[in-house]
Amino acid sequence: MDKKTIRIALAGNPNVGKSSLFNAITGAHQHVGNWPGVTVEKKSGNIVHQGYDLEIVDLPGTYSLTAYSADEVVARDYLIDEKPDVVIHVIDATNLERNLYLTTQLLETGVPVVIALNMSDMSEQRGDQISRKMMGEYLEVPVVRTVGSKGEGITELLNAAVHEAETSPHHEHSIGYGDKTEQVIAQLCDILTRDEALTKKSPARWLATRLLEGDENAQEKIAGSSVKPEVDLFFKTIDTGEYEAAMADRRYDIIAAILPQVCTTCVKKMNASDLIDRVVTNRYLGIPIFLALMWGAFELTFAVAAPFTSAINAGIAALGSAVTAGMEPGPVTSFINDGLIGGVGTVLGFVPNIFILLLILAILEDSGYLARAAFVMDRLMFAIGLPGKSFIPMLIGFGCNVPAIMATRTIEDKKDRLITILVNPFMSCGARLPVYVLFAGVFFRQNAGTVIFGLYVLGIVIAILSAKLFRSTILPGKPAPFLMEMPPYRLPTVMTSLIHMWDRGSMYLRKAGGVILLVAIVVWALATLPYGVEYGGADSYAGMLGHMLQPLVAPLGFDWKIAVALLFGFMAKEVVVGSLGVLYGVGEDGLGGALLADPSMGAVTALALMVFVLLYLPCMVSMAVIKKETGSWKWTGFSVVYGIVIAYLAALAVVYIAPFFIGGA
Amino acid sequence: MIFAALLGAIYAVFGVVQILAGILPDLAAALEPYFIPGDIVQGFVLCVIGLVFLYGTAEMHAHRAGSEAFLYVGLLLSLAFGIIMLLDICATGIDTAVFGEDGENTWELVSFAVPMLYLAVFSVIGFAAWGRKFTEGLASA
Repeated sequence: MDKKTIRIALAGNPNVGKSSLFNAITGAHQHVGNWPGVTVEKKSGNIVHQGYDLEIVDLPGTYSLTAYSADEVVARDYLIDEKPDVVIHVIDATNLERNLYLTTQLLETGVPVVIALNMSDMSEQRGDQISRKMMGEYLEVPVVRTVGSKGEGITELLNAAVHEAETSPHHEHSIGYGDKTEQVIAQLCDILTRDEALTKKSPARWLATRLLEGDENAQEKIAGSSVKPEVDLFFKTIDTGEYEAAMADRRYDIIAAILPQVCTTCVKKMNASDLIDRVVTNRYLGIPIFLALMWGAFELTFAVAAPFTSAINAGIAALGSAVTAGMEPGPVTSFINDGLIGGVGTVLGFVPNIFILLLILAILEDSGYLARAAFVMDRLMFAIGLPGKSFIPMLIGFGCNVPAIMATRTIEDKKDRLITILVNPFMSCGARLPVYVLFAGVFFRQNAGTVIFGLYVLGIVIAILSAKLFRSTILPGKPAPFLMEMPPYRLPTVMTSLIHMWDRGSMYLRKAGGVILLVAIVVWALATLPYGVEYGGADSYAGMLGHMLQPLVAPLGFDWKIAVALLFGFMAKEVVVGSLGVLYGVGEDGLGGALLADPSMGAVTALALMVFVLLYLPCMVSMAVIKKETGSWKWTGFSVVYGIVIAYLAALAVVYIAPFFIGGA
Repeated sequence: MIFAALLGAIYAVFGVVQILAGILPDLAAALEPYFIPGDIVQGFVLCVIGLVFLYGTAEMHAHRAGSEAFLYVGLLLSLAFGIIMLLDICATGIDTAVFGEDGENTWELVSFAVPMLYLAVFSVIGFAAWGRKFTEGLASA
């Protein structure tokens, strides 16, 4: 039987002991010639290892894949065009910082990488303490101690190379270049992917980053392409020098963050940023710390917002009284008080919760922590079939699903992007918070923060399970590379965080003034008409509609008022609260009391309702964005139907399981 | 190292007890006079803080460079969650004082005497001793 051939390239900076390592691996089984078309020596050799035929190619030394010299062009072209099965990146252990720059570029090629920490004996002699385990964890590649000149570590190195070649799917990494540059890369990718033959040969993201870095060889690659004129036009609109420098800076940021973690003696003194990273990116503590901080964020949101919410509610109640003072009871007074002020006012009462949550997320983002959160979550994301890049849109989804779905534009792979879009509505956006705050506050009181935290976790779990399901059934494939980004930690300034909070939160206010106002008027009309019926009563249009829907939601313990509120919640999730406020016909202060007094409501029903609201539908605006981003009514419809089915099943599970823990409904 | 070990053990024990009390109502009732309410999530957070300190203790014991990071971050986490609890008290107090009590939502100082708050006092001492040096290294965004 023929042995399987694995092609392995040895890459690295000049003078890192690559040739001695090559000699130690291949022994006498070498062939020396020239690379085609250039006078650069090509050395290759074949050996048999673990039953595989290993074809080893020693590439010319290069500091970077942005090729300038003939040697560098040969090395880069082989890695990109020939696509070896594995690259063994030979690193000089006595000069990690300089060597890691090429590592960041090699990781971007998408070829599995194994690091040979060569000349380790010299680095150990001078007292360097390099943790190969930590290095492997940070870069997510195997790191093997080698001494090429003595032939040490060769078997382990080849074992690791064979293992990487046979591992599928391979977890790829890329560098996150920051929002501004990533936006340009995404635009460039959009243009490049129109030439399928081009991007089949060279990955779009890789080509886009090389073009932005002014790589002449990358420009040659697109010379004959149909998209060349468009690329040229695009480059006239941007300052490439600015992006080139920014991209190099980002690579050095990553190196600066990793180096103190893997080699404590390679840095003169660990700074505060390095010390924090040592803990929050720890393999075992990273995720628990992230979960604890997220709970803290929700607890703070719920607690601190209370006096602000009370103030707004009191203000709205006073406004209602002032506006309708002296007016005769009738349709107009009812419209102003119950429809406009009652509906919109209810929703405005939750502005403090939303803005405080957004402020906390802005502080975490501005401090540099969120980039680390993405890093620690990456392995988990990959394990469930989601690309690491999906984490940021999912985090943004905690604020609002609309910008979150739009943020998936940075994901190149269509399937990855589609999966991220489809699961994003399960990330609990700020608009759902008013529903949680109301029901958790009324029915769970002291445990409200915990219940809300649990709902957020449930959303994440459902998103993860759904992604796994989609990946293994309707959208099979391999996740796209993880974007590594490690900006240094900074103390966020009040102004920066407030601006970020306002940018995201103002959308909620605009909705309160637009969609929610409109819905409040419609709900009021349905609750009032036909004229003369009891407000929101069974004979009103709302009552009739609710009673029609009630059989569908009755197994979940929901009555007709909730059925109507959920229907209107499709416009915007926060409308559920506004609609209930109108349907119960109570003022802002009275909604909690009205719910407690309603015999059909209880802790279990409230929990089922919160779970249903979390999962049941993307809101109208999100749905429009899903249609726009996927370009497909089929996927938009799928998102809606899938959400309703999952929500129904989850709420039903709550109805049957929750009584064992929290008493009857 | 001793400080980290002690604080780590205290946080971990209180965390486990809070989780158990959150699961077992009888234990929660028995622990109520000792200001340890049953709460699974708060218990989890205490355990996380405790583990950070204990992990740091092991790292310091092994003389690993940068192991003091676990003490600093443990202190920061402990203080951050203590502040969250303190803000909870203040916000509820203001809400009750200005807008009145709402049914069961009364302001009782004793209901806020939770481990996450009173254990943070130890971290204030620790932060006063070692924390300033650490935070000085952070620049503004």
